Amino acid sequence: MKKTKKMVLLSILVAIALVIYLIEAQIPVLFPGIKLGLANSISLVALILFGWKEALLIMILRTVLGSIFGGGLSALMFSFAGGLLSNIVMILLYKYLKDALSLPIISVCGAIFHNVGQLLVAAFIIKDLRIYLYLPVLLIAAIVTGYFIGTLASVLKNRLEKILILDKRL
Amino acid sequence: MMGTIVQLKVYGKNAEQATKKALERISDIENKMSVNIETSEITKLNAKAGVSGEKLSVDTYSVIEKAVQYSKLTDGALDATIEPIVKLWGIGTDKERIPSKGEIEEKLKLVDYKDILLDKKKSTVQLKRTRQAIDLGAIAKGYTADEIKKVLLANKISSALINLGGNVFAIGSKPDGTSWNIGIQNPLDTRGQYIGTISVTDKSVVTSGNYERFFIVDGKRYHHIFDPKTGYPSEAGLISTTIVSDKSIDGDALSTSTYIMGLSKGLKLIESIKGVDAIFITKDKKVYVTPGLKDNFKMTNKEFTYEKR
Amino acid sequence: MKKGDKIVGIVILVIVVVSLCAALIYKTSIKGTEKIAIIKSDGKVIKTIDLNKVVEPLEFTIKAANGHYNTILVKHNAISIKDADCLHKECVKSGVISEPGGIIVCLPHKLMISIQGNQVKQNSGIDAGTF
Repeated sequence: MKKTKKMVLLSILVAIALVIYLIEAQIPVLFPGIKLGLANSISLVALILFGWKEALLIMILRTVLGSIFGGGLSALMFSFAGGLLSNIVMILLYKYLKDALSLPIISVCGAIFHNVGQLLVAAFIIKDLRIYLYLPVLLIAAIVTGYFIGTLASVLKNRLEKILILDKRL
Repeated sequence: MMGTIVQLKVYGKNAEQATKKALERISDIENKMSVNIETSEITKLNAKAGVSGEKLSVDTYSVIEKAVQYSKLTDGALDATIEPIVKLWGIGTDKERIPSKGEIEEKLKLVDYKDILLDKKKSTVQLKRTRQAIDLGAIAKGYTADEIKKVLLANKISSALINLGGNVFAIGSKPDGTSWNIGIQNPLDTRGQYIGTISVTDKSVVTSGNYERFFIVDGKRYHHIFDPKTGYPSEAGLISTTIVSDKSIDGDALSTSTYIMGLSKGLKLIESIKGVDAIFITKDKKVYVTPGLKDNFKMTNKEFTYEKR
Repeated sequence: MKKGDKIVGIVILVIVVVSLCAALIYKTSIKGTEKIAIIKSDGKVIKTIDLNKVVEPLEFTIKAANGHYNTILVKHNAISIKDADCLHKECVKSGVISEPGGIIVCLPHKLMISIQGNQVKQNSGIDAGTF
C-alpha cells in the first residue's frame, strides 16, 4: 500500500476513533469519570489490518486530540493509561495467540485492562486504593463492551479487508 | 436532658424502639426527682419540710432510701440533705458565689441525713425540720443508668453503651464480642483527654471530679462536691474518683462519697465492698487502683504516676 | 469460537468472582460499631463526621484546589454529595452511602468520602469516656 494511501486511511480511522470517543464521553456513566473505551475498537481494527505500531499511533492520536476537544488533562491521563494498557495486552494477545483466541475475547481482555489502567490512575489521584471496590462492576462492563467491540472489529475487519483487496486488484 | 448530654449507643434489631423507651424513662425519672422542676416529687417534698411527708413513687422512694443507706455506710460523707448548701453556693448557675462563713454555718445546720424520715409502708418521706431540702444529684444519674439498662434488656437489647453526662454504663459487650474501652478523664485536661483506659463488659463506670462544675476566684477553684460536714467544697486530697461496679447507683454514690472521704478511707471502703473497684487520682497526680482493676487499667498519660499497692 | 477462548473465558470469570468476593470481604471486615464518614481531598483527610451523632441534617461545601466545589449533605447515618460543579456529576448520581465500606468519589475534584466502621485512630479505640 502506498504511503499516502496508508496515511489517509489511518487518518480516517483516527477521525472515526475520535468521534466515537467524544460521543462516548457524553454518555453519563454512573461511576467516576471513567469511560467505556469504545474507541479502542478502532485501535483493534488498525492492529489487525496494519500492525501494532499503527494501532498504538491511532490510540495516542485519538487520546491527545480527544483531550484537546473535551475532557482536559485528567481525561488525558485516564484515556492514556487505559488505552495504553489495553492496546499492549491486545497487541501481545493478537501477535502470539491470534489463532487460539477469537477477536471478541481479545477485545474483552483489552477492555478489562483498559479499566484496570483507569482505576490505577484514579487510585493515584485520590490516593486511595479503595477505588478498586468499583472493579467488579467495571469488569462486567468491560466484558460486555469488550465483546461488543470485538464483534464490531471483526465485522469491520471483514468489510475493510474486502475493500482493500479490491483496491489491490485495481 | 437532665441538664447534661445524654448519649446512647444501642445495638440490635430493636434498637430504635428500645432507645425511644429509654429516653421516655429518663424524662420520667427527671420529672420525678429534679430539684429544678417545680412539679417534681422532690420539689414537693422539700416544700413540705418540717410540716408533713410527701407520698412518693417507687422510683423516688427507693433512691432516697438508697441515699440514706450510703450515708450510714460512709459516715455521712454522702448526704442527700446537702441541698441548702448546694443552693447557697449556686455553682453552675449565674448566681454562683463564695458565701460568707456565717451563711454557710447557718445552712450547715440544716444538713443531716438522719432528718430524713422514711415510711416504707406508705412510701412516704418527710424532712424533719423546715427549710431542709433534699438533692439527689449525687446519685440520680446512677439510678437512671440502671433503669435504662432495665428498659434496654426488656426490649431485647444485649449490647449498648450509655453515657449520661459522663456516667457510663457498658451493657454486655460490643456487638463484635469485644469489651468496651472506657477512657478515664484526665482531671487536669479538657474533656476527651484521658489518663488511661479500662476494658469492661456489663459494668458501670462513674467518675466524680473537681473539674466538672466549678468556678475560680483568686486562683482558687471552688467545685461542686461539697463536704456535708464543712459546707465547703471537699478538699480531701483527691481530684478524681472513678468507681467500677455492677450497679450504677452504687457507682454514683460511691464516687461522690469516696471523693469526700479522701484516699485512705476511700480505698478502705471500696476494698471492703465486693464487686466494686476504683481508680483514685490525687492532687499530686498519683493514680491508685484497687486490686480488681490492676490488670485491666492501662495508663496512657505519662504525666501521672501509677502507685503500686 | 476458537479453542483458546474457553480457557480465557474461564480465567476472566474467575477474576470477576474473586474481585467480587474481595470487595464483599472488605465490606464485612470493615464493619464495626461506628459509622464515621471520612472525607479526603487530594489524599488528605480534611473532615471526619460521626454519622451516629448527627441529629439535624447538615450541609456544607468543600472547595477543591482548582476552585471547584462539592456540596455535601450529612444526615443521621447517611452522607451524600448533593451538588457539584464537575462535568458529569457522577458523584451526585452515586447517591447516598450509609454503611461502613461505602464510598463516593468525585475524581475531577480528587474528593473521596468513605465510611469507617471502627473508631478513628485518634481516639485509640475508646468507646466512651467518663467525665
